[in-house]
Amino acid sequence: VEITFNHYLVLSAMLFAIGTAGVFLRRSVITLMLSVEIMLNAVNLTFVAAASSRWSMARSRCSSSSRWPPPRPPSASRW
Amino acid sequence: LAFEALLFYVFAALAVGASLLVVGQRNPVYSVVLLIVSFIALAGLYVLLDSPFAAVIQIIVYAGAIMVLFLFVVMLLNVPREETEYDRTHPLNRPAARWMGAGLTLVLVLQIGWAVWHISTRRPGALADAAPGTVSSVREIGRVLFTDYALPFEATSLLILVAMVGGILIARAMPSSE
Repeated sequence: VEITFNHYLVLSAMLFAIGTAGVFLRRSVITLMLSVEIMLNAVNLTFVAAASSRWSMARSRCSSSSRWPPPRPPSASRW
Repeated sequence: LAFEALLFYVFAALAVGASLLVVGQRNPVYSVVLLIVSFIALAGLYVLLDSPFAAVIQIIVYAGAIMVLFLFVVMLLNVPREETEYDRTHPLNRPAARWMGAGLTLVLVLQIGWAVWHISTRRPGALADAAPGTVSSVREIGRVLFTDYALPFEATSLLILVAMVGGILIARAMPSSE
């Protein structure tokens, strides 16, 4: 089983939903802040995963092949 | 590769479980400590995504600074633990806010459902496997941050200045209202 971008998207959606539920369910202001932090970190996870998948796309564009999914380059000659 | 998948599921379960406990916890001190656990699991996920810089920043800034600040606020303000299971004194519990919250919940559920349906019918994008020296070297990040992304950087600093001024204004306006 390969971990793909979709796995990270689903995980991020779950974390964001948990944070939203916390904002709407809890009463103390501190816990509201903590729930907002959970939501922010879910969005951060989306950004990092998107950057990672974008990076692999850009690298496959640099290499000569146009096949999708890009083949794994040999570890010696990365560029 | 199976080991990476195993690590992903372990970190994901840790993050989701700790976040659920943060929301479900009565004692705010426990909530803060559990949130630190969730952030460390997220840092592990960043390492799996080949972004060690983001992982280190996550641990130093979030787990180290912001959460310690939250812990200080909780300790200093003596935030009471929520005793009763449910009452109607939520700060967002006003009619307009209630309708807006219902609308936002509907939008969020629709969006997440649409996204999950969409990505289940589409070919998954491959994740970067490795490029350790080039992707996330601190030197390269700093160079790009001050050349190509100088405008977003300055916009961020302006945003932080606005937040600081707002915090000072709120803190100064607090005693006069009592």
